[in-house]
Amino acid sequence: MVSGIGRAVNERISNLLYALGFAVEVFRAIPEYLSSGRTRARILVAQVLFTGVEALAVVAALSAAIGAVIIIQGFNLLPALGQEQLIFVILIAVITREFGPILTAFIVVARSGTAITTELGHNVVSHEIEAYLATGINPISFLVVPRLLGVTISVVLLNIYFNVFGLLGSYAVSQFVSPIAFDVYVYGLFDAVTLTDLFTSVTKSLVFGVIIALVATYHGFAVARAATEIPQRAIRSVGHGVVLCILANTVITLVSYL
Amino acid sequence: MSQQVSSAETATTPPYWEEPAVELSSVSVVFGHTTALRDVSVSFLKGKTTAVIGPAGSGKSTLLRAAAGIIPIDAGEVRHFSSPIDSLNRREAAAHKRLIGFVFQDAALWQNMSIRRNLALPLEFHYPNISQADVDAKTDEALRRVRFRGNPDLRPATLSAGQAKLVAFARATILDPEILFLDEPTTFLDENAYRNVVELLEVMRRNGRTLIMVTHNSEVTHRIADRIVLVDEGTVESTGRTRQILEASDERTQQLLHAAVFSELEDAPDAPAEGFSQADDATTDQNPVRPASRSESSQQASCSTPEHLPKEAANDGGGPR
Repeated sequence: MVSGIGRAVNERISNLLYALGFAVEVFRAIPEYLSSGRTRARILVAQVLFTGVEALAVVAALSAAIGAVIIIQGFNLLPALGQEQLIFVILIAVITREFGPILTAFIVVARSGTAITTELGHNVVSHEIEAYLATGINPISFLVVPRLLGVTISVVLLNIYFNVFGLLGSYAVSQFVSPIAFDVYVYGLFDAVTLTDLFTSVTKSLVFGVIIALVATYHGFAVARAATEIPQRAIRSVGHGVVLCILANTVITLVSYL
Repeated sequence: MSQQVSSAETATTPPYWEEPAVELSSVSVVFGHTTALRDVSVSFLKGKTTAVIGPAGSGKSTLLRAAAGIIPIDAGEVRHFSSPIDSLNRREAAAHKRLIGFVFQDAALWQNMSIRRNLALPLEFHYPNISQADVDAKTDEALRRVRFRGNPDLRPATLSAGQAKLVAFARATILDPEILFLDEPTTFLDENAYRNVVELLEVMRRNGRTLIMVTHNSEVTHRIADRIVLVDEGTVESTGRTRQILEASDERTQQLLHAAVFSELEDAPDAPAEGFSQADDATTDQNPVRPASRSESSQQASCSTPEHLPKEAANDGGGPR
């Protein structure tokens, strides 16, 4: 019993150390990637197109709907408290600081995280990774780094989309609830937003992008031999990605108010 | 004194025609709780064709992968042209891979690229300044050499297993490697493709390339292999010249030769079903003699051309950028 617990703890610690070592290897391979030729740039562009561009419709719909809900709730609750002017602060706090980064991260975990884990897992099973090694191509710099950069750039871009569509969506709904002039609305937002809000939002996106890419690629390479391991790893990739993003979100939010 | 040392060294230095291209010293590979290779020491001679044969699950493919340096080893050392491959830095190691080619049993083509890109990638990686025209010319030539008939702009998923194998062969040889590792090079091939690949291997052999192949095909072994490495249960049972091994009179060797042919045929139904005729004749020998060539497998040959190839490749600017 005790030895079983000991073994499990040992295994978890060694897995954690392996994952940290993997992350260090990925960051060490970034200069090699950046100095590489046209071939690897194609993978980065493809990743940004898949993660950042193809998810645009989902992000736009989700953010507009969330913006609409916030404005409806705000216009219903705040007047009763005599705090209508806080609607802009709430919009910035909820959309820019919190929902923008974390919800885009969830979308990317679900779409791109699973896709990356599945693709790399398949590459392992079909010996394609060994074929890269046999050719002299470092799979970390060739496969992982462009995905890391592509996912991170995409999460930041999606966060910007989310903010634009979320704030526009709330403006559109406000015209039905309590019409405001567009210039007043925009002025209210600019008045409410601070540099800390923007910095926190971008920092979260960058951190989430790195987490999602590292977790997805780690689980992809963790597939050992059988194709049946691929969906198992994809599920773990989503679970770990979501949990780590939430934890990171909490820490960054906490730090931003210190 | 120094003259004595010199003459002693000369005495142990193998002649140039027996210089090892690839050496494994006390190599062990462990997968989880399974020891796939156990303290293996073997040399693959430069310019020779060596067939690695043994029963299914004996560790042949692991031996080949360890020798090529594409899987990590848990103990021992692998040397290419006398240079330990673990001592090369990342750039040198990448450049060194220009000198080797690997044909995987299941082709292992990169599925997210076209067939043409599969061949172009090694060229673009090792020669970053190569022009697109040169890449196209070389990929076309490589595909023509293996007599690939198909559209090279399609993805590998559209290929039959035999066609995929031909493309894999073209990819592995597009850089004209010094050492070619082949894992079951003739499985999945139809008759024409099979003859074609055997001819290509013969041409490479005549051109002095070092070929190391895992095979269960007796015709290929007879026609091409200069030497045989017989593997069983993760160890090298015996090594030697092809005829010497095939005509060995000890029962153990003959049993392994039979197991190598018949057990593998069940795994690879496309392979020509021929046995080792000499081996068949010798199975009646009841003297279980430990193969005399076992000691040969553990010889640690020294080589008089230290590190020349990896460093040469690393220094000419062709490494990864």
